[in-house]
Amino acid sequence: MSLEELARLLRVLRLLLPGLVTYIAVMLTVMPLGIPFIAVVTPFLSLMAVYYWSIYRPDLLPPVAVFTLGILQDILTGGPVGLLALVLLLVQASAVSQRRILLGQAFSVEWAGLLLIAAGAGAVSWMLACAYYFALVPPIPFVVQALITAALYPLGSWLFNRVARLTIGAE
Amino acid sequence: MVGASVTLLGLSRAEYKPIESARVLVLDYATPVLDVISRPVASANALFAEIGTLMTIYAENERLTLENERLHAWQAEARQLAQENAAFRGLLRAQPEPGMAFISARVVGDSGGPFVRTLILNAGGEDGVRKGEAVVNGDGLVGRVVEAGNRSSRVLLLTDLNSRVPVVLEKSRVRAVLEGDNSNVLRLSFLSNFDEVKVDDRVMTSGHGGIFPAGIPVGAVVDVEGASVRVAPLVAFGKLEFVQVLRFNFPEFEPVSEPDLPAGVGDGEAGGVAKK
Repeated sequence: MSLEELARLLRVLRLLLPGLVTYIAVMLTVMPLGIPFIAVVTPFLSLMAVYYWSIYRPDLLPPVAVFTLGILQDILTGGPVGLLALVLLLVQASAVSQRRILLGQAFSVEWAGLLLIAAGAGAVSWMLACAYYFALVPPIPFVVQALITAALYPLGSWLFNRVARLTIGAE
Repeated sequence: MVGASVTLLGLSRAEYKPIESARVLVLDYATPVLDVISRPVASANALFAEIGTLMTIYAENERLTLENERLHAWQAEARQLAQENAAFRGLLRAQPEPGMAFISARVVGDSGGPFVRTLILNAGGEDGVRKGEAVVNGDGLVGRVVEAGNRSSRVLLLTDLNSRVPVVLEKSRVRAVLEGDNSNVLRLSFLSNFDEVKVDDRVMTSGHGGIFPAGIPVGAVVDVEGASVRVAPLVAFGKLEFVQVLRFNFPEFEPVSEPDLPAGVGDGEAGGVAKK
């Protein structure tokens, strides 16, 4: 009985993994890293995670989770509350709408998709930031962030793949 | 969900109070987690830095020996000046500078996003950190506290788009406002006099506005192009590990209660000034 319960608990925990991984991605974004260049503009790790799970396991990362984690990131980074939540929801919506095309393709297609979405997210968040602060926010950091995010995606995707395997058959 | 995000954005823009309190609350709860996970990151950073210094240890030693000699000379001079200053202050009956204490805190979070330049500290209201206090490190001014929770606080860096600091140029005493624009270089605006600004001029806080104490070093002018003056900060914002929050007791205008004054003093002085 208790063993069965433990097994059930473990299954539930496995189903929570995508959310947990995205949560870790949010927390890592605000880590003070001493690495030059990366220290100034960190990669948008949560975007990577949301993109990946939207393609492979959209059922395990519902919009409510994306919204909550987006708000958490907004608060931790000290930016406008709701901005990153909105951007991440848009990322999720666009990735989910394209997942039929992206699934089963070569990795390069998935990567190109991420680059497009990261660029789009950068453009949207730049416009939102300009409107919010009612000022011309320097756009270069947004471009840098999109590029760093895309450059790190192969590594991120590899790690997410490992985690995704753990979620298989947990239902 | 999209609607909720947009609504929150609007409320956040309007500085709706519950949002502000929720921010502080979430920050308070997240800081212990950040505190724990930032420690190994900090150790790794320290290790890399150590490897870096090992390679240059000989040159560094020579440089420091020279600098030490120079500093000894300065120290002697500073001691003498401090005594002289004290003597002059005594003669002039000058107001003593407001007292200052500081609270050291560890940097546990760094905004990293492209919109804002902020830090999260592991000290808050319980440790005496208050909103508005200046934050410095050994090199100079870092920024100011914009949110203070119970055990955490957020610092707006000088480089943030919304940062404005009243400063003064060390030699010419030209006043200006130092603005950030999210890049690593700062801008001077509202300069009272352009002609006297030169490259390498040192910039420090002026103490105007009562937020920062006067005389905290900030940076040096690196570029003057007509009306655009750029300043390089002294602090390496990417490498901050520990900072000090200054508890600065800005002199308040406390009305002196009548019985404390000898009869007629207040009226007499005011009258005397007016007559001149």
